[in-house]
Amino acid sequence: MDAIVKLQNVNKVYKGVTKGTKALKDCSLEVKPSSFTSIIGKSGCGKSTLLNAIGGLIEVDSGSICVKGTELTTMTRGERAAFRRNHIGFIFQFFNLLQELTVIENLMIPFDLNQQRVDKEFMDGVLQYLELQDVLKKFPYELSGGEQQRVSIARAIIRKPSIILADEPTGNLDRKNAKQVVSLLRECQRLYSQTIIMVTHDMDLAKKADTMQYMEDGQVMSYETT
Amino acid sequence: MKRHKFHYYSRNKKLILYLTAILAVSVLILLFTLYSQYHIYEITKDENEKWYGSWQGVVVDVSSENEDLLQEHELMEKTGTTGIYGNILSDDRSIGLVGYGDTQFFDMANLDLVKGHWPKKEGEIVVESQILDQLRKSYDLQLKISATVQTTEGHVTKDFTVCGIIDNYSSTWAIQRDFPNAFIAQSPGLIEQSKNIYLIPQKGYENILNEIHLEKNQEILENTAIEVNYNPFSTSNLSYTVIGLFAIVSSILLVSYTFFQWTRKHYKEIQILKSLGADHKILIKDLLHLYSKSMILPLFIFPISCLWMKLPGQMYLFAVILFLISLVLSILLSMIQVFRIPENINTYTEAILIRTRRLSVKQYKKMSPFRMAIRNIRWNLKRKIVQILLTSSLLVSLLLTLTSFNESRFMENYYNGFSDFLIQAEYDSQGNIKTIDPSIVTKLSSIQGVNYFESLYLSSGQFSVAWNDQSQAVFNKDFIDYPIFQIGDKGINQVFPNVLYVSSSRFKDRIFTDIDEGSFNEDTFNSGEEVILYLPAFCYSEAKNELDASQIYPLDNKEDSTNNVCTEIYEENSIKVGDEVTIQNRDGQQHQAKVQGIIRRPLNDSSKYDYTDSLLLQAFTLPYTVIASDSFFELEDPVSHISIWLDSDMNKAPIEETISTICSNEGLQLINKSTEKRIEVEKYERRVLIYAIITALLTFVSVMFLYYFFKQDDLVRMQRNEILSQLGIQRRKIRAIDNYELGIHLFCILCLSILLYVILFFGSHYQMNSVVPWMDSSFNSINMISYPLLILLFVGIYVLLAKIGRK
Repeated sequence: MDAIVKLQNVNKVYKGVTKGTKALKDCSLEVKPSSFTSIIGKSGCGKSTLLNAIGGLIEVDSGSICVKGTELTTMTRGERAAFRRNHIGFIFQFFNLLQELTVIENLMIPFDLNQQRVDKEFMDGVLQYLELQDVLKKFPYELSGGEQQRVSIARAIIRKPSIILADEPTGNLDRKNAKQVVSLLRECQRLYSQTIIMVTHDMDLAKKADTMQYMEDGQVMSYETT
Repeated sequence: MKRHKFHYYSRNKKLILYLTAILAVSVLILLFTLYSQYHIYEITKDENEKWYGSWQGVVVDVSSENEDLLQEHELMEKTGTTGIYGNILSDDRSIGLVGYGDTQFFDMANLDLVKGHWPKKEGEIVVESQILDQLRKSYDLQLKISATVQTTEGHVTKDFTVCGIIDNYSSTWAIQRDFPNAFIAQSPGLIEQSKNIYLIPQKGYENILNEIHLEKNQEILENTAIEVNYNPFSTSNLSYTVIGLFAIVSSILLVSYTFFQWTRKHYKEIQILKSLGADHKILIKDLLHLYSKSMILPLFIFPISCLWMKLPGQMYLFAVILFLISLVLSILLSMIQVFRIPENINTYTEAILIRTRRLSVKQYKKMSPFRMAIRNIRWNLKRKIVQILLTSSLLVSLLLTLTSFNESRFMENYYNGFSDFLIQAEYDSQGNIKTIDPSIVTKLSSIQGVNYFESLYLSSGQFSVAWNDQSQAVFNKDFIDYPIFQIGDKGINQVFPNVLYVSSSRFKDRIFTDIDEGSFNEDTFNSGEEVILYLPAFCYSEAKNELDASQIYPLDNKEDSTNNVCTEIYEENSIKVGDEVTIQNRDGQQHQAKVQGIIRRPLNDSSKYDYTDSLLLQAFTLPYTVIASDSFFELEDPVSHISIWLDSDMNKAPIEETISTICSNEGLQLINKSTEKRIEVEKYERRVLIYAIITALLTFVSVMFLYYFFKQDDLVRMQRNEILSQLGIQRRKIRAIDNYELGIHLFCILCLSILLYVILFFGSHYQMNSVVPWMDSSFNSINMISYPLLILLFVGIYVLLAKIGRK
């Protein structure tokens, strides 16, 4: 089966304050469709940069990033945003919910602003599964950390992206909630056939993935395909 | 063991620096506004004293008992005296008073010699220039003038040699009675006819002038011209008052705002401190320590600035109290912010904004960029209100300063519009005005330094006009008691209108384009066969008492005229286009001409003229005016009146001398108003400069404020846009949210500013119980667009800074 995400010799150096910091060094990775991949590594090893590169949030200096057969490195910023809109969902450690919007508004904002239609039935199913029906009118600050992360997961899933990129989604949660979030991701991947790439430094949680990759000094060390 | 003091806020150098800068700027703005108001007050007072004398009261024709009483009064700081010895004569007619003044009087009067010296010996005289004008003499020293003075041998006519010339002071002083128009040395051989005593009470005892009871029913007349009432809401002070208030409000808001921003940034640390046992008492102490450190520079600036600005003690105290009030309020607001941070460390989140505000969102509505912008404003409402309030108050201050600037500029132009010299030909023995020799006209117009020159031929009261239906004229049906209407033979009254000839094409264009009935035919007009009549509706205002005189003047607007001003409104309809009129001069010579056209619209509105006292304006002060060509008068291009405007930067003394010499040689009547004009022009020039500087300073402060706000906003905006970008929202949509937010913000600022400006501006004029005299005229000119231009500039700066401030 062809890889849905394929990185070859990707390099990224951060300029500015962290002048000359090589975040990615000839980094290569392949991820198969509908798989759950976890990436672990120490702080500053380049995990988040790798995820941002796959999501088209940053431009890399060299190398190739091929997602769903499309080369991201040759795309303009606008084209990458459009690609992200259609194919990629993000889940973050700090949930990245818009504080001024209610839960339902946070879920709907990508559809509203991009004038896309939402699959109502699918969304209801996701909300039911994530037990969010009762908090739709609440603001993020009224929710617990676990609830906020579930909203973040729902926001990523209901757009039906092929790939979900989760950047330390459990980093800001207690053990119980962290386990629940990973189980939910796992279940969503199974139910909706989505490819999930999760960055974490919690070995126990990483082990729940189909594939586990280890990163060190900007490189994926245990490069293996499943 | 040394006790360790808790320092958290007070050791943050950046925060101390910010607060110090804000407080120092506030102090400077506050002191600047107070200084400006005080400065204007002082300048006005000084100018008035310079021009109208510093004496505060005068007793005219004072009796010796009262003089002694006032001279010896313990609360009187200074007394000066003038005495009248006699009259200056011109053709056996008195044209002014001759007298003396003592040293104290000259100290109080602030009279400056234009040339020469004060009389030192008998036979020398210093005269007002208007006396020389009336005598048709040039402004030369060593001239001889005659005056009748009383000596022990009775009234004698004596010749005096002019040793000095002073500007005309006596006609401008508040009390126009018995001031000498010429000064000679005090002489024991001359007998005083009357004596005035001028008074300045000791400081703080000014009211004593109202309390002194004089004998023989004499009274102290106050010098009302030097009274300056300080009113913070007067048009000249309002902008400063608003800027001062702005300094206070902004220091409170900005200090709290900065502290709030800093608290938000250090939320976690403060929370940790609290959880580790830093109670409110410790934090408040630390907070006070922080403010005391931030106060060092402002407190240093305060006395130095006050000493440098020479502000009086009360004003200094007032500024300190205002500043302390604002500081206390700022500290209270900062404390509230510290108290609101929870001690529970578990509530901490990395999100920059921790909100507990409940917004009312009734039901889900599809989000558009506009709705998103509105939601963002609602979410950050308090911050936005602070920003809008501060920015609006800055814009209002700018608008009010612009108003003061425009008003001063208008007044400067208004006074610049007055001619420096008015020259008029003499009347002959029959009462007919003579003409000025063309070579003299050319000579006067070509004097170096003459900026503008007007001339025309205007005869008032010389010609009577008759026409067929004259018996039906308004002054025949209802006799109007006014000098131009006179009782004639056989019950038919006569009118003696102004008769006018203009040669200037500028004047002609002005007049002949305004014909309401008939039309202008150059050939028949120039041949003298036809004339144009100026016959607007006019107001007759009857004299209310013996001291008053009846008045008539062309009505600007019939509907607007009120009956309590006009006794009656008249319109002359007994004469029509094509009627023949007979115009007869005092010699009995008759001219007949047809009425070619009639002007009904009033031409006496000064706003229609470039020059405030244009000769043409003077010609149309009467409703009955005949406009004819020079052929009609059988004269070639006659001139009877000349107005001269000088270059404002020219030294006027040599020009004055040249003009006065020409006039004196040619027997022309000269009215010299150049000094009065320059004093007023310079006063407003200074104000224009001050307001221009304030506008520039305010613009600079606005730019700094706005930049600061945008930088503060940028953190929140960037965080939101990053999330939207991660969600794949199109960039143009994100930009649209930003732009809508900017637009709504700007709209609120403009609405609030314009509303506040209108309230303050009209409130100020209502409070001053005055109409807006300069608005009608100035709003017709470039000033009208200065307001939209300023707003456009503000919007431009706002948008530009928003773009620069955004990353």
